[in-house]
Amino acid sequence: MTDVAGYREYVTGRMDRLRRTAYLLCGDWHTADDLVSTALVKLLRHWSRVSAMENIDAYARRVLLRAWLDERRRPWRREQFRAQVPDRAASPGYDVADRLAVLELLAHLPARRRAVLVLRFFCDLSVEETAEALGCTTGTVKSQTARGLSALRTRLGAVGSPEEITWKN
Amino acid sequence: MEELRNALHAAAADPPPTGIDLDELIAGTRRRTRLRYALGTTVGALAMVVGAVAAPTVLAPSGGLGAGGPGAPPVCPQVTPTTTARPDRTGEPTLPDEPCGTAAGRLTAALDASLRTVLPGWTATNDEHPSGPVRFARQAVDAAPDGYLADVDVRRGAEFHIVLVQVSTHAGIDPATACRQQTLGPADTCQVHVEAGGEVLLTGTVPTLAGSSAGLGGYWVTDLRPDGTCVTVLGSQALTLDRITRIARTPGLTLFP
Repeated sequence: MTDVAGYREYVTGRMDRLRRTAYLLCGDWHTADDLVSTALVKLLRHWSRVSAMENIDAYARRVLLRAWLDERRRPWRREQFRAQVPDRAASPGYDVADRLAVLELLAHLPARRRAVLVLRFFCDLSVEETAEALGCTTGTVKSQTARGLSALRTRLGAVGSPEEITWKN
Repeated sequence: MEELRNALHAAAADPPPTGIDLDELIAGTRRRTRLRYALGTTVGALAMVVGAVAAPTVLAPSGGLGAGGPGAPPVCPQVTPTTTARPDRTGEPTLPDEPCGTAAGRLTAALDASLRTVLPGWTATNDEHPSGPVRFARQAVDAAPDGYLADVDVRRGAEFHIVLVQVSTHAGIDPATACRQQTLGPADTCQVHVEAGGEVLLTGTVPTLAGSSAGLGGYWVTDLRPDGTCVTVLGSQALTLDRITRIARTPGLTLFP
């Protein structure tokens, strides 16, 4: 913890992105903040080593993912993928129902499959980068992506979700 | 794919204001790190001197090398080559000959039972990644007196707190001057309670403590036992001073069974 200024600068620039990623993983903002806090504490503890890394973002993402997967393994984990109205206005083009539908669809996926979709399509990671973040092979990432998309399509067909989120492969 | 991408971005758009206070997080983590490695040591002048010479450690493997699960650091660090000279610890109390693995297992069992008694209905795990059962591990820093540390995460529903438990030797602590010798912040407190039988309890507060859902400060209790064991417990104020004291006074948490 010798370079707190560097840590602060890094976190200030990445906080928003980390929170959004965590939100898509866990489904509610409070838990997302908990997960990000956990990740930031771990990042700070090892900052002297982390700051020398070539790709700090990848490390931070990995810590966040671990925090979330770890949280999910706990028996008392708080699953809150329910129809909960956000306390902020929806962004143009997607109404509240659309946004909730996305979260609901993600919520029904197994954890690692959900993580694959979030990493690939929200964080824009390549197959290789996603594999590294999750500690699995690129083949696993490809298969999890295909299965995840397939599951989303199936559920969309079952629930008749809005046209805007009818994804095509 | 682009539609999925857009949908994910839209779903995470307009986040509410974060509850994360970066200043608090940094201050709390620094405090916790300091406490983790030096709480027991700052209760004595000797330890403060040693703490100023913090250096990587070389711990002799004196027992089994237990592990807390895949990826977890070993309970008993193995010897690794180093060029760093160890601080002169002549005259400092040393650990008994009990093998590290045996002692860590015994202390873990005692703490586990104590947590079940003192915090019924709570679930305790270690606070490392990956988390697993509560466990003591040999401290790998020369800044602190030889001892064992358990970094525990206790949970009940959505409420969670971190409890740090350090079992070490007295390290030359003088109860009469212990509070004056501590590196206290302006809002920290420290009190000395002399119990019957020679046991001395040091108790105090810290204003902020990371790793708690309550966002409160913490209590710490150091139990200086007549047998030479020093037990220090740090936990959120939400757990109450009484409970933290009971954990610190757990009879099985001793280096001299």
